Amino acid sequence: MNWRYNITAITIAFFLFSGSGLCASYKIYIFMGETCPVSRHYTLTLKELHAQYASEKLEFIGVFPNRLSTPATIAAFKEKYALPFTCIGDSTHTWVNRLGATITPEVVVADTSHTAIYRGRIDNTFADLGKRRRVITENDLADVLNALKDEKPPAFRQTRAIGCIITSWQNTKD
Amino acid sequence: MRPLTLSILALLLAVASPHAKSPTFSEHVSSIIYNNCTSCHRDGEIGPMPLTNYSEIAAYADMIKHVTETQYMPPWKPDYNYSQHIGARTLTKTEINTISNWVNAGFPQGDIALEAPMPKFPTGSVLGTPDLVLTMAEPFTIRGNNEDQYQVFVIPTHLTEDREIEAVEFRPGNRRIVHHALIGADITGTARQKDLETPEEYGYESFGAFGAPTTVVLPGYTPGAKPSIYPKGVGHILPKNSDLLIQVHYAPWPIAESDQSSINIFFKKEPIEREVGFISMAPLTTDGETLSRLLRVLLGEERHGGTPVEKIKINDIFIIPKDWVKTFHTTLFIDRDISLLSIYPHMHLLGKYWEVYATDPQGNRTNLIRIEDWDFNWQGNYTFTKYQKITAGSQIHAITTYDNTTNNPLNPNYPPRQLTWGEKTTDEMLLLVMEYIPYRPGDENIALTVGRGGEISIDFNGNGQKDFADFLLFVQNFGLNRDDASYQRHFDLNGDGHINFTDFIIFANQFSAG
Ligand code: HEC
Repeated sequence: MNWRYNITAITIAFFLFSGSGLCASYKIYIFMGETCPVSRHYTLTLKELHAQYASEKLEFIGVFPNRLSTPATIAAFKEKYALPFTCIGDSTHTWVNRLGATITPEVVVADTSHTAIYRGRIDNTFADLGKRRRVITENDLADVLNALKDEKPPAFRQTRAIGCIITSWQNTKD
Repeated sequence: MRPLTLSILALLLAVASPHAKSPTFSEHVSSIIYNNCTSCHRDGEIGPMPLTNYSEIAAYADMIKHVTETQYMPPWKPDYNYSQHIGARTLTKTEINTISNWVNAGFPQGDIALEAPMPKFPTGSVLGTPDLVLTMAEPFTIRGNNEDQYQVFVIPTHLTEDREIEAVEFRPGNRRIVHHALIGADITGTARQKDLETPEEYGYESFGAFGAPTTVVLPGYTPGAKPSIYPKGVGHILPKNSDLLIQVHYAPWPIAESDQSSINIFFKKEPIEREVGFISMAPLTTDGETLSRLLRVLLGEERHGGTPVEKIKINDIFIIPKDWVKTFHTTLFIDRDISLLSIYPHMHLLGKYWEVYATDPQGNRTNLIRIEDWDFNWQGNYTFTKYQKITAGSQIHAITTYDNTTNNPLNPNYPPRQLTWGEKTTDEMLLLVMEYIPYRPGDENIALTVGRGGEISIDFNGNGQKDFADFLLFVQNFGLNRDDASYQRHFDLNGDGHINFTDFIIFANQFSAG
């Protein structure tokens, strides 16, 4: 057992525990990679969405599932791109497995019992890797957040996120 | 004794089937990644994630499998099987399969003793000590709003006489954000004036090109490419009192960062016998004026004893209506024997496809370049692995396709609008620039190479000496092609995918160079 996993476990336990105490009804989990260029690109959009929608009922949480993520790499990323929300490590993939994330960046909007109502891309900026749309035409996450703000939770929807595949490494032979 | 054992060893390695059991990082994958990815993917370079050791590579294993299978990485746009250019970055089918099998097997590390050595990446100039260093006068800070930025900087050369140029090396100040750079020289003062018109910022913004006439366009920069050296007796002339113009493309970035790049210039040691000239291809505008005549002046074609282009033809006026996918066929008629050195295709965001080939009067065809999935971000000037001879009476054909529908995610307009020629992101271009020299018998056998001397290493066994053992290793690998399982890149000295006679000539030159 690595000390890093202990810290992650403690952080997760803290969030699980404190989550029930807060009156936030939905959490917006954003899976991100410190060195994934698409994650880097979206930091700007996420700041804007956070400024517009974050509230006691809509809490943003950055989740960093890369195997080499450490509290230090996460803190450095958060500072460099001035992310205004809590960021946690998940190199053991507890959150990845619980919420079904496969890509960074990918968002999962879930209620306090971790039932997802949205999983997928933030918007349609990327048609594919390296294919950056010059005019964004679908703002998927903003649509979900608008509906929640109006207290009209939409039915579950999933879209395809473009970015870096999260390497699942539990079964590696190294 | 030593050379013999080594060569037998190499022979055994070459003959052994790639990997009966599943590949391991140390033995099979490390050399693929270190030699094809790490030049860009290391600290401070443009590749976003470092790929410099097992744990960094394993942490991105599934993604590395994906980007290599889809051939998104390493980035190389021209179709490799159509024509060969220097510095091609492609993996062989065998290499791609090795990576996939390794990831599918749970990316085992294997015996660390077998890990490939990390290539030596130069920290300074790759060419040596420059004769002239021109640096941006001050750092430039990008807006950091996730948009591409194209800025032209004007740097006076203060040259008191014309100088003959052997090589130009662009050195990005901030390699993470500099995506590419074009370099040219202006003797009219137009660019200097433009810079003065925007006193609030250093340089001026210009998407399409320099936004000023250039008498000479010098080799530009793309990440990972090595600077090319003009062969003996061949080069450009940088005019006295000229201003160097660099158009730097900064990648979209979510926060402000700054850059202060510089350019190393190497003068010719021996006089130029053949000055490099330019041939450009451009369409007609709506009012029927030949843009190419204009460009000819801009590119200084008049300086080179007149252009070898007799006339230019295009099958249609250069207008791309909305909701259309449109293909143009442009033809250049060449009136004398020339040798082509390089080719630079250029279009903007509607662009999808480029294909250029020459046909001689007997109907023989020479393929020059094909880009199936045009990407403005990875545009570049491609140097042929050897001179391409174009005989008098030949035609150079360019087929270009533009997608002005909503299926094209890069379309700058939503809904689409009709576009035509212009310099802005929301305009289009059909521009082809080729470097050429007057033909001399034997040109077609001359290999164009990159780097100076020691850049190409023929010390294959790494014992610090170019000796008979290296010769033996070379001979054993002679005749292999890139899709052969035992093909090894470092024997392919000009990187054209074949270990053949041209490589032998390079080998022999290096060998005798002592
Ligand atoms: C010439 C420089 C260069 C080389 C060589 C190169 N890369 Fe990249 N790579 C880049 C750049 C630049 C990006 C970022 C693209 C972007 O920001 O859109 C990138 C992105 C990536 C990504 C992330 C993809 C994404 O957009 O999320 C992966 C994974 C990757 N490279 C792997 C590789 C592998 C594996 C190799 C070797 C087989 C390789 N690269 C070779 C420059 C390079």
